[in-house]
Amino acid sequence: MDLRLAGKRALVTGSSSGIGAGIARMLAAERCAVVVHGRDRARAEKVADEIGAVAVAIGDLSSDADADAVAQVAGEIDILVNNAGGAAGTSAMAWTEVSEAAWIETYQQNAIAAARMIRRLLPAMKAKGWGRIINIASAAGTQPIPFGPDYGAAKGAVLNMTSSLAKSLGDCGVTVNSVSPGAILTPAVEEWLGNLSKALGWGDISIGEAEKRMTREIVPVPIGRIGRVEDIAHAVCMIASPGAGFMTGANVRVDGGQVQSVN
Amino acid sequence: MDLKLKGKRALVTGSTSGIGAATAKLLAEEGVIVAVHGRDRARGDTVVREIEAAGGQAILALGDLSNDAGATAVGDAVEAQFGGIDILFNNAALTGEGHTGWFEEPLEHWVEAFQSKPFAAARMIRRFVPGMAERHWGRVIANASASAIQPIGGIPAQQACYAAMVNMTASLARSLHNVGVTANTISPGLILTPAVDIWARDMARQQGWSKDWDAIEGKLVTTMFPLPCGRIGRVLDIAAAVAFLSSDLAGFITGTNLRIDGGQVQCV
Repeated sequence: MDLRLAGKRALVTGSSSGIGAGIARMLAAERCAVVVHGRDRARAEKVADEIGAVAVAIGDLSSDADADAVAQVAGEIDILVNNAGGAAGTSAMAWTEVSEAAWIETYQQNAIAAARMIRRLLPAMKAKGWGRIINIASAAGTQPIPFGPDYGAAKGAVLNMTSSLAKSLGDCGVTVNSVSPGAILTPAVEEWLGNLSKALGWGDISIGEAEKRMTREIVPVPIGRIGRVEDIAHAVCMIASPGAGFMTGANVRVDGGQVQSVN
Repeated sequence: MDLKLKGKRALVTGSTSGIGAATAKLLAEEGVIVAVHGRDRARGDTVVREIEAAGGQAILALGDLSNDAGATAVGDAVEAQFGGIDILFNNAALTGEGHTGWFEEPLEHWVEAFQSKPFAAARMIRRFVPGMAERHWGRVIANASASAIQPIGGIPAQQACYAAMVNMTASLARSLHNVGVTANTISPGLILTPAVDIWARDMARQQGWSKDWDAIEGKLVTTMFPLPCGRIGRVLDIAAAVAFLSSDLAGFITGTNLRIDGGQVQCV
């Protein structure tokens, strides 16, 4: 299927590694002109070289000035993927251990970073009469976990603002949707899985075996594996496609069935 | 993007018109061998011929899925020609006709509606999903509706059927642990099918709107059916989503409900 993405200009925030890099790679393979964004120039340039990106934008999206600089480099964008995010070192912290400063930082990195880029890049999409905004949220946004509460709350905010933005856009050719990944095998998750195997005394098993066990015993995932960055990238490409123009305000869960409720 | 669907076998229930027909055609374009299903041979033959004329492969399976005998006949016809199937799109439903209000619609009609939508889907799932699990690859997609989770005050029987589809598909996803089979729902908003076309034009007449289709559509989505997207959906919007969920690349998406509704559902 021709997704008709050739020639579209896309900015993927936080694309110097992990899920963002995977999304940037697949959009580039669909012949989008991709702008890679990150905070570390060397890492961003490495990804940009590998995938054939058209530009590299460097900056910390929790600052207005850096967001301005990133928007400047990005130029007129057709597809904005708000992927940059993460927790302020709080992912394994108990509820009351997370400081107020950490709550603010996590909110900055996820919700406000996305709002900053939307505010900067939406006017050009509206003027052109076509655009796609895709916010990467998390399974934790709708199925919170008992620790690291700042992260799930910030992702919940991302889901909420996606719906609100869809309603505000009206008939302007721009759609906005979220993608909510479950556990995805990034280097960070791989390390966590290795530690988990050791901690639980699973012995010297491969990542593949640890993955099967984890999805059966620790985080129930019906599909029986941890996701790959390509799983998320594929969903992003589909939503970005002109063929998905009637889809707006939705949250696409790509989580192997991790979220238990119906939506 | 190669969806890697070439050579897969699909059954699209209720595919002699509307969303089902569009989905059957789009899957065939992607190289899927499609079983077109319906109750009317002439209409089914037309869809099969159209697929073949476009260079695709299709067969026809006739039968009424709202009873066991009819479902068995359809299952047998598909199995005789395909062996098993890889993709099941549970799209068939009772027509929208006769669905009325809470206190007008006879309860027998609720039973009929359940027979022809969720029970029909369950019949096909029970028939074909074990084979998918055995071969370690399968896609089950249910066609529900935005009204499954955002019901209006009328047509309670029809809406309850859709809600059942969303729920049972999530349950199915949970029952299929690590067998390579995904189960998801699609919830279309208002889609321009022949039935919706008739309904919209009727209403335009009653309300004294213009006869021009674009004007009717514009009026509809700004007044009676507020849609942020500014238009009614088209059958291709849904067909594209089914193709996406059917793809080999969508193997990590299961147990979810994909809203293709132009922003019709108000909640997160």
